[in-house]
Amino acid sequence: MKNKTIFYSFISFFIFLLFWQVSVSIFEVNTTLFPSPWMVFHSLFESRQLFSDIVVSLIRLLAGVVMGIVMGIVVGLFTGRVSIVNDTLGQILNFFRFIPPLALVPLFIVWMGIGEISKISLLAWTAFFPVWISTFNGARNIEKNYLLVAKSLDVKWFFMLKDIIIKGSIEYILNGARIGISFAFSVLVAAEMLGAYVGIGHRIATFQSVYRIDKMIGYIIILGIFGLIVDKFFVVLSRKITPWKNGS
Amino acid sequence: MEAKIVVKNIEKSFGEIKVLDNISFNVLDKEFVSIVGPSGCGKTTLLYLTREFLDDYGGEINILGKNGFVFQDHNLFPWKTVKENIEVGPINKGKSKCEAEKITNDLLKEVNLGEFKDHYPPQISEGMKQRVGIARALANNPEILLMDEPFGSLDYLTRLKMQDFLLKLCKEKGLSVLFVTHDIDEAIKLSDKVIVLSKRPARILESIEINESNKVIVKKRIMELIGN
Repeated sequence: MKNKTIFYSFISFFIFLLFWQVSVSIFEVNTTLFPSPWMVFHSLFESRQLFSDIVVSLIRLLAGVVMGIVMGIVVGLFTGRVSIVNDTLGQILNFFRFIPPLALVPLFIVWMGIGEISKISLLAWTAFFPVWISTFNGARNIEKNYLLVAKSLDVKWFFMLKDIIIKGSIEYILNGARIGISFAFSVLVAAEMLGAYVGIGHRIATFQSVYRIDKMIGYIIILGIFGLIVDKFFVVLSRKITPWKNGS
Repeated sequence: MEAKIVVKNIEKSFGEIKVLDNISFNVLDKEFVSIVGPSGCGKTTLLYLTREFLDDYGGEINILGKNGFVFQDHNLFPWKTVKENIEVGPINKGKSKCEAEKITNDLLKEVNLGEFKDHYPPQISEGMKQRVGIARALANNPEILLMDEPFGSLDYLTRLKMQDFLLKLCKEKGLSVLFVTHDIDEAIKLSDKVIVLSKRPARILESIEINESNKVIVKKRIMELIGN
């Protein structure tokens, strides 16, 4: 990002917070329902569990997403390059793709309990589909000419897979992964609200039941920042993985 | 002289459409043979058949010796640097990292791209890309080069330079070349023999030996044959 963009985005955030703070004081609203940004900020420091909530949620997200992405890439490559796999496994998966992951929460809890396994599985499931579809498209649409080049140089199968098929569809894979992460992120919070004893989503639900709107809003803002950081981190990682995309 | 490529009675159809009809010719050792013909007549198909990129044809094709293929539009892997592109061949022939690097460095010197070895294809010019394409085809030390309109997308001056470069290379390495082009001047300038194909289904209209004295007449003759 350009320095100018960063500068303006900070300024606008600042103005937004200022506007919020001033309107709360001027209109004398009920601060239990509409706390000021300062109160929200302050309440977060009272929340002893904040750190452990973030860490737990982050680990769940990472574990689920990594599993989902790896599976998505593997299945995507197979369905994309081997038509018999696409005609069989691909069609079954395509049916499951249209089931909203949140509809599976109760089922996953019944089968696997409210422990970590059910949540991580749900996140893996959620992240899997966009990665699979994207990788499938990338692998299927690799330019035929590149395959001819590979043939003309008598390329071995492992090289073919690693250096031509995967590298050739890496932009698709990364796009899918980015979408998978954001899907998993929203499902994470919902899943934690439905069954957990620690984690950001669980805490938001708890704060609602004890009417701590200030802490609730604080956690929601943390979620936003959390998502932004994960996404930025992913963008930087993508750049590292695809150096040929930079400054051409 | 010994033949490097033997093509005998080739027939090829795509579905109902017959593309190649009874094509036979040889490329001898160290000979430079061009194939010209109207666009869409099946020149590339013929070259692809020679390298077994396509199957399901009638007739017989023998290619005797190691070969390299140079593509139209270079077809460099955009995700690999210049150096990595050239290394693909040697690495897949089981050469060690070190050997592959030595081969690549020597080739880079030959095609004058040493300082660009860590660039990615989008960062270099079209002429450079095609030199990398040639270097990549040469990395396995072939005796035969198959080239599919390699200079078609280059501007006029770069094309002339590349033609001279290619001639020099062929002489130095003693290469036998099968070269597809739609540029008659290019074919005459480079070749020992020009094979003229007809419109689809392509048959050989004439196979013409080129020497220093007949170039003008040959050009006229080919123009007549192809009819432009």
